[in-house]
Amino acid sequence: MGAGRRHGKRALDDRIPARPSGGNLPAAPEPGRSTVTSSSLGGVDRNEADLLAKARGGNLFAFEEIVRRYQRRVYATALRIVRRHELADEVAQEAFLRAFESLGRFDLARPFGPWICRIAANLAISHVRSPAAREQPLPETAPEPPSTAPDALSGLLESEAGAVLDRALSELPPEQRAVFVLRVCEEMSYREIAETLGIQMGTVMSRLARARERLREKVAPYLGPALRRAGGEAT
Amino acid sequence: MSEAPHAGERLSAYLDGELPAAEREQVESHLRECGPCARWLEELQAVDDFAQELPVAAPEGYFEAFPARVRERLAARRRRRVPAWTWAAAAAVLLAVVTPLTLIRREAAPAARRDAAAARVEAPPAGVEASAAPLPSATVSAQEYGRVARLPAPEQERANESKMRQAGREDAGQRPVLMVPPAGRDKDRLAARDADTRAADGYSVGGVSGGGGLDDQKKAKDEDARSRRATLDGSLAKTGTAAAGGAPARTFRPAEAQSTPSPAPPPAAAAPPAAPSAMAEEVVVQAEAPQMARREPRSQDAAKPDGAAAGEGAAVDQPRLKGEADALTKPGLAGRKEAEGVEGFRELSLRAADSAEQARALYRAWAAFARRHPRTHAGDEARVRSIESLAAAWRLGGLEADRQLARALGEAYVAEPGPQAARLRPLLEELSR
Repeated sequence: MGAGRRHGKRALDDRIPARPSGGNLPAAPEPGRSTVTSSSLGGVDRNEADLLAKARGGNLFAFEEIVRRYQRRVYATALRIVRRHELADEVAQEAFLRAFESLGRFDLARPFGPWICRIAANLAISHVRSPAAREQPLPETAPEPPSTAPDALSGLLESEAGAVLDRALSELPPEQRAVFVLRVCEEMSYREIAETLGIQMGTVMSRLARARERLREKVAPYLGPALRRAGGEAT
Repeated sequence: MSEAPHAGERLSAYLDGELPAAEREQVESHLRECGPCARWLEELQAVDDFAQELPVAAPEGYFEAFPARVRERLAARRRRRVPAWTWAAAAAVLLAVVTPLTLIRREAAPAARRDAAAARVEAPPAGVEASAAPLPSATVSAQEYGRVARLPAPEQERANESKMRQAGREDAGQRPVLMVPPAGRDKDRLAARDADTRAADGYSVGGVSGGGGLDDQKKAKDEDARSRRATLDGSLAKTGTAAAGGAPARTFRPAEAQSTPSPAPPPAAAAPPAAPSAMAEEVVVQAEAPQMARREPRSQDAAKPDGAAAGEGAAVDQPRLKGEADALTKPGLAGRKEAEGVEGFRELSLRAADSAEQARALYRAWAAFARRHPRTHAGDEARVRSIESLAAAWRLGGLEADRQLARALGEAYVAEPGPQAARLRPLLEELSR
């Protein structure tokens, strides 16, 4: 069972893969598009503090290097919440701009990644909460209906599961989606999520449970082969 | 698919390791006995795993360009945050340098020159306030000069007015003459100090005729462009941006100054002594009140005696004003003309937004229009208007999310930079405060 490895907050280091095995990779990325997953993001460099100190002194090129290291993670956080590239781009840019302006208050002994991601998450959530954002239609990525494919197609099913989950994430209420992304993708603790969103921990727990349940309902039809294989591998 | 779990929401918290020890033990105990719940937990875990592995796609080359884009935006912000006085100082220096050059060409009557020389106010060296050390030839003490540069005392103001009237009668009919020393050793510092003073007072470089000149240009353009600029003027005036708005509120009003001496700033402060030198030169400032200039901008041209009556200060700033005016109106005007032919544009143009909700709706409508017409003048104009509408929604409703989104959208546009970036910058300054 996978619950055990979730106990305790995992280090928020980009280098740590979110999942040890790659057996359930979803659909291949679109041709001609850069791809990043939460498990392939850049790591924390040991001279990161030096770069940040220089950036704090106004060195834009030092900060550009910091941006280069964290851009994928920040963009991913933003995109998972706002669901649109153009908005994620704006959020990611704004997050870095604000981080730069707030570097004077940032403790250089702390990791930069969680901090910048929290900024991005806040901005993204501010957007999805806005009335204007609620009126915008979601990206048109119609999910494929569940298939009764034989075992030979189980790999395809698993691929479809990713696409279905992606769509289901888009359909979540923004508040639930934000909590889910912060917990599952950013691996924040309930307390951190509560602080970030300004809600009670109990609310975090209930929103997260509802989000997971809605997602599970959509994805479960595709999970049979994967779970069976996972069970088989385990035995 | 599994049935509903007996452990309820606790399964999710258990998955995250967020349950207290006692509850965790209860859940684990239940899971050992309940197959459906164990299966449920596996599915929840699988959802998490899939979500973590979801690819995040971005357009090709996006991440290669992104860091430099951020750096450029930071650099742009830094440039925008250059204190207002530095721009005013630059304008003042320009004024001090160009004015003599333009005046050299003018043939002034010898008598007028004599009178003007008598009325000269010579500037002390830099640091007048601090050192109060006047030049040997100074005819006005440093303290008086300081007051002239800042808020002139009534008696000093009256003295200046007397001198101005005297010189003005001889030289330029009803126009008063202000003394502006040109170049000098410390002109930069003094110019900066004076400009700073004027910037603090909201003084607009080239104010009267600058604004009039801009209005003059605008009048030749269509109604919509003018109304849009009026909105911008408000923003510019608020942000203290000197040139584009004309900012007439603090511009020099000779008529008022002559008839009703007031402790309030105007005349001498409006004509900055820019450098310490005996080479004081006159600058003719047109006498029309700014209100007149706004109502009938062309009257300025009529008042020009020799082509320079728009005010030498204005003549200095005119290219910049013109450039900004063009930047403000040209793309929009072209876009509007083209846009008029695009279905839906005129209807949206006629829509008013009296509430935050209406403004938001207008934002969405313009944004949708912009998406339907990418890479066109109409689409660009719609995009700009969408941002302006969202900003209006923020002003009307005070919703922080509106401000943040409008700011983000505006900054993205300016960073590209969009063809109407100059139009959005004042708005962005407002949104950034």
